[in-house]
Amino acid sequence: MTLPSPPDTSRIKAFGDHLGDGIVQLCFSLPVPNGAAAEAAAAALVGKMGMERVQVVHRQELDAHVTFFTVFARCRHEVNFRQFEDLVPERPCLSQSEIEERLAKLGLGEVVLVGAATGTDTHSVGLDAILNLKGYHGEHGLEAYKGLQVHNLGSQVPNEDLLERAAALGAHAVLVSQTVTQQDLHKKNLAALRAAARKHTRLRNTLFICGGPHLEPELARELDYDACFGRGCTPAHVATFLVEHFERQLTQAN
Amino acid sequence: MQDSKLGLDPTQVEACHRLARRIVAAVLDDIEGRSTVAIERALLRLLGVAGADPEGVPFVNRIVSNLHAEGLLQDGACYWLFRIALADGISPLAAAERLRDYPDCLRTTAPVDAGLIAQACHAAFGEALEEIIARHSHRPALRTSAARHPKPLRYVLTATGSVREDILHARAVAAAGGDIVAVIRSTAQSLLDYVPYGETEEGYGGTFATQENFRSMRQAMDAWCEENGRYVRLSSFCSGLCMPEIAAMGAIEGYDNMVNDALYGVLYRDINPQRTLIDQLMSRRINGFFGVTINTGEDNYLRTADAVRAAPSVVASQLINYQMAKASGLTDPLIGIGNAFEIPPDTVNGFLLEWAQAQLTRELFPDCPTKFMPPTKHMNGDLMRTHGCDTLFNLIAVTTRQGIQTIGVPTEGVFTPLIHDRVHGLQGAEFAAVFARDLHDEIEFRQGGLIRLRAKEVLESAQALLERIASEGLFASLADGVFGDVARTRDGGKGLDGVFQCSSRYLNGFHLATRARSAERSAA
Ligand code: B12
Repeated sequence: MTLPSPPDTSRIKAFGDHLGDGIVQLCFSLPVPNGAAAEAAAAALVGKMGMERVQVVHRQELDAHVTFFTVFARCRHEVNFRQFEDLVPERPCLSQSEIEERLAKLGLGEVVLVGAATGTDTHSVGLDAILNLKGYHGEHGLEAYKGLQVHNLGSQVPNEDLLERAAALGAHAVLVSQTVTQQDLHKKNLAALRAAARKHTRLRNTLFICGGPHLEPELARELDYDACFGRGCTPAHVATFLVEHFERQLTQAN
Repeated sequence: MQDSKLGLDPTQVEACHRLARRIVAAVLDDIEGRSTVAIERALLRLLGVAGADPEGVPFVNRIVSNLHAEGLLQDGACYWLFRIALADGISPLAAAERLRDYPDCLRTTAPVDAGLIAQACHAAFGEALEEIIARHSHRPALRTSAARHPKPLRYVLTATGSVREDILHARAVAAAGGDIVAVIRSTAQSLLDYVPYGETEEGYGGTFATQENFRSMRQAMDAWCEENGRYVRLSSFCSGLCMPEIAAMGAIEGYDNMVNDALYGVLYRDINPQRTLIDQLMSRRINGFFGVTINTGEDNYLRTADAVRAAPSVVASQLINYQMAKASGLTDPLIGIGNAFEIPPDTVNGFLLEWAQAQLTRELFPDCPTKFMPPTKHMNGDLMRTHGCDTLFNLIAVTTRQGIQTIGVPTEGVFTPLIHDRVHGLQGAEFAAVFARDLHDEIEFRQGGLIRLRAKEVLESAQALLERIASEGLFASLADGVFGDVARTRDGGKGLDGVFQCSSRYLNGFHLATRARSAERSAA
C-alpha cells in the first residue's frame, strides 16, 4: 500500500475526502426569515465566494428574521504554497542557554525590556507568561534570562506611562499586549502608542513589539511594529527574535 | 446536610461559616461610618434624579462634586438636599436642581432642624422606593413562573457594544431557551467614576451599562415575553467604581439579576479595596431590598491562578462573599455564589475534580442559586474542542443542580459570541438537561473515592485559609495575594479619594426608609 502521492504544492486546494476535492465547511447567519428562500440565498452567497456543488446541510431559525446555515461546498480556487514558504519561513526557536550565550556576545550589556498591557486592557496573563519568571508551559519567562532586564508594568497602563518608563529606563524594546480586539479597540490603541512614541526622542531606536491572541502580523506591520506574537508563542520565541535582531543590527553597523 | 453526597462533616462546614462571619464582621467594623461618592449618587438616583448635561456629565455627579467643592460632602447628599427643600419650601427634585446649578445655595440656605430634615428625607425615600416597587410589582410572579425545573437557569451574555444589536442577539437567546440575558459592560466602564448617559451604539467587548440601555433592553425583552409567553430575566454588572449606582439603575429598570462582586474590581481592575467594599455593602442592600439576585465572581480567580491548586481559595472566598451578602440583608435564594469549570482539559481525571468542586459548592450553599461558569481560560480557536468541553461542563451543571448555568459557546476563546454561537451553546445545555435529567438522583459518591477525597481536601485547605484570613484580616490577606494570585494593598488602586468619613449630620435616606420598613415587617 502506498499513500497517495503528495500533490504539486504550487497548486493546492482545500480537501476533506479526496485530495483536491476542494471541500470546505462554512457557518454563518443571514438576516432573513428561515425558509426555502433563505436557503437559496445562502447557497447563492456561497456560490459567489467561488464555490461549487453548494450543499446547505443545516438551516435554523434564530429569530423571526435571522437564520443560521451550515454549508458544504467545493472551492474552486487554488494557491501556490511555495510562494508562502519563501515569504513566511518557519523560524527555528533557540534554547534559553543558546540565547543567553549569543546575548552575551552582543556586548550590549543588559538588554532592557519594558512591557505592559496598555489602554483599558486588563488581560495580563499573556504578557506575564512571556515576561515573568514563572513563564509559560514549563518554560521560564524572559525575566529568567541572563542578559535581559525585564520591567513588567502590568495591565491597564496608559500608553504614555509605558513610554515614559521605557524612555527613563533606556529600553531596547517595548512590549505591548492587547487582548480585547472587538470593534478594533486594539488597532486604535496600538496606533496611538506608536504615534505617541515618535515624540520621545529617547525611544527612536527602541524596538516595538506587540502581542496578543488575536493580533494579525499584517496589521502590526502596517502600524509600524517590529514584531508581533500571537497565540501559543513562548518566551523563547520572543528572545530568539530579539537576539537575532540585535545580531543583524551589529552586522549591518560593521 | 444529612444527605451529603460528599460525606461532608457538618461541624466542619459550620466552623468554616463561623470563620467567614468573623472575617466579615471585622471588615464591616473597618468600613463602618464611611460613605463614597458613588453611594451618594446612587441615593440621588433612587430619588429620581436623572439626566446629564450637554458634555455628558450626569447630574448626580454634578451635585456630588458641588458638595465636595464646598467641603460639605461629609454630610451626604441627602442632608443638604432636604435641608434646601425644607428651607426653601420646594420639592426634593427642585432642590436637587438647585444644588446642581447653584452650589452657592449651600452657603446661603437657612438652618433647619435636623430632626425635620431626617423626617422629610425618610418620607421622600419611603415614597420613592414604594414607587419603584410598585412599578415592578408584577415581576416576582413572572420570575416564579419562569423558574426552570429541573434547575439550572440558563444565563447568556450579549456584548456587541451596541444596545440595538444586543437586543437582536438577546431575542435569539430567548428563542433558544435562554433564561437570563446579561448585558455585559464595555471594557473601560468599571474604571469610570460615573455612569455614561444615553443609548450607546459603541462599546468594546461589551455594551455600556446606562440607564437608557437598561431600559431599552428591558422593554425589548418584556415585548418578547408578551409575544411568547415566557419571561426572560435581565442581568448586568455591579462592579467597578459605580457599584451602588448600577444597583439603583437595575432596580429602577426592573432587572432581575446582577453580578455583584467587589473583589473582582479589586483583583482585575485595580480598584481600591476599601472603596469598593463600602460600595458593595450599599449596592447589595439595594439589590436585596428590590429582590434582585446577585452573582459573585469567584470563577475569575481560576483564570489567573491554577484551577487545581486555587480551589481552596475559591471556597474560602465563596464563604466570605456569602457572609458579606447576608450582612447586606440578602436572603439565600438571592445569593448566587460563583464557581467555575476551569481545570486544564488535559488533566487526568480533571472531570472528577470539577465534579467534586461543583458538588461541594452546592452542598456548602444548599439554598443559594449557585452560578456555574463554563471553561474559558483554556479554550482556544479549536471550536470543536471547546464545544466538547462545554458538554462535560453541561453535564456537571445539570447533575449537581446548580442554580444558574452560564452557557459556554464554541468561540469562547476567540471573541465575544456571534449570534449563532450562543444558540449552539444553549442547544448543548438543553441536550444535557434532557438526556441526563435525573442522573442527579442516581448518583452517590463512593466513600474513599477520588471525588469525596478531593472535596474533603479542598474544604480542609479552605478552612486553613479562612483561619489565616481571620487572624490577619481580609485587607492584609489581599495584599498577600491570596485570591487569583493577585496582590492588592489596602490603600492602593483607584477610587480611594471618593471615600469619606460621615459627619454626625450624615443621612442615608435609603437606610432610613428600609430600616423602618423591615422593623415594621418584623413587628407585624
Ligand atoms: C483570563 C481572561 C480574562 C480575565 C483577565 C485576568 C488577567 N489579569 O489577565 C478577566 C476575567 C479579568 C477578563 C476580563 C475581560 N475579558 Co477576558 N478573557 C480571559 C480569557 C478567559 C483567557 C485569556 C488568557 O489569559 N489566556 C491565556 C494566555 C496565556 O494566552 P494569551 O493571552 O493569548 O497570551 C499568549 C499570546 O497571545 C502571547 N501574548 C499575549 N500578549 C503578549 C504580549 C507580547 C509582548 C508578546 C510578545 C506575546 C503576547 O503570548 C501568550 C503566551 O502564548 C479569554 C478567553 C480565551 N480563552 O482566550 C477571555 C477574553 C480574552 N476576554 C474577553 C473580554 C471581552 C473581556 C472583557 C472585555 C469582558 C467585559 N466586557 O468586561 C473583560 C476585559 C476588561 C478590560 N478592561 O480589559 C474576550 C475578548 C474578545 C475580543 N477578541 O475582543 C475573550 C476572548 C472572551 C470572549 N470569548 O469573549 N478576561
